[in-house]
Amino acid sequence: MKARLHLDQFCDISKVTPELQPLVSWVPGLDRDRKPTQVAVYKAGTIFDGAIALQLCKTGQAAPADDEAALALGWSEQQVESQRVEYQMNAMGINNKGDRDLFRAGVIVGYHADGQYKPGPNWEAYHQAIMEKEDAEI
Amino acid sequence: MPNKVPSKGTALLMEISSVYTAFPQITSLSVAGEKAETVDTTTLDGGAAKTKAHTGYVENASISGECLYDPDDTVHIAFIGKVRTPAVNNFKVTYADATPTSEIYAGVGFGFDKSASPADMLRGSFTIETTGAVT
Repeated sequence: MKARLHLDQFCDISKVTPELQPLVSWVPGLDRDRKPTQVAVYKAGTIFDGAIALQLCKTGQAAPADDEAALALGWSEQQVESQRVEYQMNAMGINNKGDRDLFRAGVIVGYHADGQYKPGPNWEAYHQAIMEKEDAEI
Repeated sequence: MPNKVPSKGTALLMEISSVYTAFPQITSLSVAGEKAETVDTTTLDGGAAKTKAHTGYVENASISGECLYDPDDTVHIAFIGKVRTPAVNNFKVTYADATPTSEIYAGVGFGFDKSASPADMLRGSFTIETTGAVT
């Protein structure tokens, strides 16, 4: 049973089992004191095998990579994609209901460091629609 | 120069099978109580001002928060599993600053309350007592 990670995920190196060791990558990062260090991650595209594969699919971190995983999960492709988007929002700290709707609709893709929206592919269309609605109401 | 960092974008991640997994549907999060421990060293023959000294220990932080509870959610299930079968579990708090800054806490004592009321969604309230140094 296999699953493929959608996005880079931090790894707790203290809990890595021998089977998972080959999957760990190290990337530059900062420690708590802001000193450069190497951070353990599982990179996007990593294939997990076994029970962990199903767990990662259920959380939305991964998608089934073989028929066994897809059967065990029992979700349609749309459900898998929907859960991927839900997880992405959780990981990015997008918890506000209105912001989650905007993210799902492609209006925003996250937040800047100052909390402002990062425009998504539908940002312009969304604001155009708002302006047209306001014009119609006048 | 200090920046005004928004709360939105802050995330709590729970280690599950070595993978840090975002805790879903959090509506508030608090990391509180980390404090250098002191002891009163005032003596009978001392001056008017009381004195204190470090013990050399640091009181650990506790993490608490609220979420929209989903009984079928994998992470919520895993967290409640830690309440019922306690074991040390690492948690990562990621802030929304430019870096962004992350801190890892070793959780050792867990609690999860659920509440349902006609005018609200199903909600969960969680607490995590931590142990050891923050990394």
